[in-house]
Amino acid sequence: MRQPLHSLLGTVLAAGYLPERASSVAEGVDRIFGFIFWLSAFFLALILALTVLFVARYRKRPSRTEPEPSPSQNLRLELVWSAIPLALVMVVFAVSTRTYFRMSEPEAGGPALRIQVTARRWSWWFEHPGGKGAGDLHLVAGRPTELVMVSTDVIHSLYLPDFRLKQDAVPGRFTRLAFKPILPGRFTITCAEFCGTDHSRMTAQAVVHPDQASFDAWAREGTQAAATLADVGRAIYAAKGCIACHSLDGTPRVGPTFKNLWGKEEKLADGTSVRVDEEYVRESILKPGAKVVAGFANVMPPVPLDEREMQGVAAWLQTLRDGP
Amino acid sequence: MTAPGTDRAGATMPAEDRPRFLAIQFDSMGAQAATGKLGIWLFLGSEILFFGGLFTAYGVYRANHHELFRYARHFLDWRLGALNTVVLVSSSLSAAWSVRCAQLGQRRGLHATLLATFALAGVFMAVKVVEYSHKLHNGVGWGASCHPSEEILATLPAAVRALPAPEHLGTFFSVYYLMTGLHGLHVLVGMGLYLWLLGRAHRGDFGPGYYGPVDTVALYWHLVDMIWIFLFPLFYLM
Amino acid sequence: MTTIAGTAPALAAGESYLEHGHGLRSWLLTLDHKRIGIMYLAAITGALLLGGVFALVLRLNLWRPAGGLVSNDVYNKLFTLHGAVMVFLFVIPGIPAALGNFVLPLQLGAKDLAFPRVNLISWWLYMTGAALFVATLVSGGIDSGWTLYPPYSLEESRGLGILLALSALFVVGFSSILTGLNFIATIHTMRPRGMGWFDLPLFLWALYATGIIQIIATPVLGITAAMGFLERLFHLGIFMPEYGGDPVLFQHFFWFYSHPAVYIMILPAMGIVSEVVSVFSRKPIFGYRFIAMSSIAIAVIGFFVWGHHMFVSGQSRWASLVFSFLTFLVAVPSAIKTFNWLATLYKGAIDLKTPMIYVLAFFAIFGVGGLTGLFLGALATDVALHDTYFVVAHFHFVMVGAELTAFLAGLHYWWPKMTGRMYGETSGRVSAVLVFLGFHLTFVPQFLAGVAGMPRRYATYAPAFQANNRLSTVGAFVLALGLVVALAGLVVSLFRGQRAPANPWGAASLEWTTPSPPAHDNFAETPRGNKPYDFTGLRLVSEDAGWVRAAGEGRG
Repeated sequence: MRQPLHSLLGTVLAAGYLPERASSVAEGVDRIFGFIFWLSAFFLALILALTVLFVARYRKRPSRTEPEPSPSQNLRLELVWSAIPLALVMVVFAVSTRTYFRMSEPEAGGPALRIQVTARRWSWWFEHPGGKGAGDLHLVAGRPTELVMVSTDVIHSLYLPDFRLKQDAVPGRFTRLAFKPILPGRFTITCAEFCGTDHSRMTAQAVVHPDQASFDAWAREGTQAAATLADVGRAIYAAKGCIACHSLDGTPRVGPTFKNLWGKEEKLADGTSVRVDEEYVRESILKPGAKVVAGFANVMPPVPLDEREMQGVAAWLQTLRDGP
Repeated sequence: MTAPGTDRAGATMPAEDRPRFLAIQFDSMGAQAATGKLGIWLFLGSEILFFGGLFTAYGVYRANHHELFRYARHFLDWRLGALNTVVLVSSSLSAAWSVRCAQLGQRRGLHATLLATFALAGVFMAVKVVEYSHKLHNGVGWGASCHPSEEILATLPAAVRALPAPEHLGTFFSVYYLMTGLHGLHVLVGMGLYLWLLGRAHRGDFGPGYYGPVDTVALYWHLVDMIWIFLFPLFYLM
Repeated sequence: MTTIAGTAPALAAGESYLEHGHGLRSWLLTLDHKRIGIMYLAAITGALLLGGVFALVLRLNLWRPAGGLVSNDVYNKLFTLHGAVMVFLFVIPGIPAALGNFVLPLQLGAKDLAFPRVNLISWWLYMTGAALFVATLVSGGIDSGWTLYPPYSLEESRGLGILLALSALFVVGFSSILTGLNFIATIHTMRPRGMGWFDLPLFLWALYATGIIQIIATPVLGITAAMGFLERLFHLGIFMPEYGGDPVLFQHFFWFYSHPAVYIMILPAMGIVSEVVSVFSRKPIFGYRFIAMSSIAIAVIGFFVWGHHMFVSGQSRWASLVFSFLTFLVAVPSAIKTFNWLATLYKGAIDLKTPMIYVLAFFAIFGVGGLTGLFLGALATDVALHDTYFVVAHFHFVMVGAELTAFLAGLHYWWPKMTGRMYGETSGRVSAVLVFLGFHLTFVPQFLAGVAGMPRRYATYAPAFQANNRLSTVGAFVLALGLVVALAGLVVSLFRGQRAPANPWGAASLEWTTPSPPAHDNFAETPRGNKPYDFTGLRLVSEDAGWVRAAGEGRG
């Protein structure tokens, strides 16, 4: 009987509310959701109907100033409306727990793709097999996946609404999340455990490749030795978390935007000004508090980069200027 | 536990007949005493949960750092701990005795037992001061500030000294200072309460018709004692 | 004139508790439970308004997906203080402190609570805690969420506001413990002759069950606050991983208190519902014993479900299973109560006065609030819904919708007794309708946003959620309007309200046998206990004289 109900619910809610079903467990979770929904809707309707009915029928009026005689207890009724809710919640518990345990069983479909997830304020970093790291999570449709998660600062939570999955990343221990994506495409990743100023901007994407070949092609990108300095800089921007505070589109965020930054005459908090060149960039990375730009707070942590990486950042910043 | 002792018409007694320490909301001393007793037991219940949180933290940390606890307890002098246990148990005896004295109207006995309880509590705190100062002077602080000096390391049994010092030694002492410190605070509060009782006993407030406060404070004191009876083996002996 | 047993003669001028003693000291140092109740009422109303203003700013910021009304940091501080002020200064103390303090001794025919000085200390502790919260706000605030999870909340860079907040928690918690202690001792030992356990008004069963929770759960909050405080100052290594601690341990400690705390919030509300639904149906409450026992069952089972806040925290699957099972169990007594309340309406003579309208609203709102808890207690769905706006909507349905609605019902119900004035029915009913509508407009869209994947504690959000957020913001202002109308109506009645008779509603519990407002010491002689839901013999004499019981009838 649950099948038709959940399909009807699916149609109604899919119109705007339930996200896509992008993982193998999503349908099972939605089925539980639908079951609880209809059960609740029934009881809510019952409560509302009885309330409205009784108030309408038994409302005090000149012809009705006293209640009709009726008993004020009935053991059988009490047992019935104790036993039925008890039985129903036990059923809900049983089916939901069964689905939940299935969610943590290993999936069929070959060996799992193991990805190391690092959460920190305020971006995600995913290390894929073969060493390719990225700010987005790359997966293969149909292939079981295991995420091994850690946080380097405070508690974060990896949340994929389309997958119906969530798991906290806790500093000081590893947590795991295992699942199987079933749809190719791009899906939202958000942080679901409050972690500070840009908690609401700690987003990423789950990029589900249609097959292993396309995943492999992506993994091979950018690992050629002939990567340019600017490529190095761009990779640092994502890997070290600069992306969390420095935009590329001109919007000032926690830190100044990198668009058109190179060569600019930057006004500092102490009233002096400085030209943005290699030296300024080096100092800002290693000792960010030395020269704070006017209008921004002194909150940037120092970032240990080696010489090549710093050259890469400088080269890349130069590519972010409009015009020559 | 209903029906305060009223006269037959349910009226409260006229003002002249009211005993001196009978509060307006009670109709008899018996009712007041019974309610007061329930009140202190409820408060002790909350204290048990309060310390219960700490004992739970102890349990979790001991389970997660077993070797640490077995190593670090040698920094504590079990003989001083045992002395304090004897002191506190004796003070519970004198506290119970003080209730009896009040019940029987024995003013001198009441005075003596209240004073004894106060004094024994003072001895407990003195021993505590000795223990704490010895550790703190030798670098045995809590958390990150735990750097035991050579002198204190030399006092460890040879078998223990030979072991490598575990990481996070300070965590043991954090839990130790927290729990024994909080307990010590409760002892100090108890001392204040016994001083107050001594004052009232001196004024002649207590007798067979009214000894609620003596009873109440004694119950509090028994709980403080009981908590120590758990702390002592958990830190000093295990 | 017939001698009418159970009717209090009107007091001579200057004899009510309001006039017994003048000046600030006679209030601030009073031992009179009624005055303490009024002082609590004033204080929690202030807390409601403060927390409410924060909420309105939050909702305004959420008008736009990119936010911008306030910075993210300010937003984060606002939602933290909104939660902390509402939870600890309004909802938890709320009904027990403001209404319970006033009504409890009167319902027992007693002259005061068991420990009046402890009661006064409770109030001063509450005010001290409130001052500490204000100090937290003024010193720059905290932004970790009211749940204060480490490592974030205890980091050095957060500043010292956390120390003030943890102190506030400790102090306010102690106030709560003492209130619970006082209530239990009073109900347990100071019932009058003729009032056995099953003759108690159900409001007192509710306060008794609440007191059990206050005494057992709150100390754990206290020790958690103390440990957090010391961790921040001295790096004990209990919660912070960098010093060897475990942040998830904090969550266990915190929720061990904070889950039972929600039953501290709702049980007294349910007690009020039982009183009002009976009186305004003019029928004894249906299933008295089952409702009474359900209150105790909720209090007890509620201690064992805290882990349902931690299903995705890294907790073991088996622990989660146990917590989920018990969470479903605790839902059952609430269902039992709901059916008993509805059965009370059956064949009654339902009078739609303001308290009753609020109670009818409660049925609908508590229905939704309770049922949406099922989605969260179920493991499979909770994984997706945890930390989303679905949770925010669920707890606002029960904490604001249900608890606040019941509080307003009780406030209007006992207003004549407390103040000697009748509130205006029109503004009362209008406020009830505005609150009901505004409430739904605020929080139903939040369910939808949560199901669609919007996480909570978000200062900015993806544009797809804009419609739901905007509806919610509009609703918040309608709700605020409703509350303002309610409060304004009550305040106006203090000056222009009709003088209230002893028993304006025809209720049968003992507080209605005293004058409105009562004398300083409540009862000249301890009355005999009666059946609190036996309305036989009560007749409405006139609006001015109220309801009166004919001699010899209905004396249990």
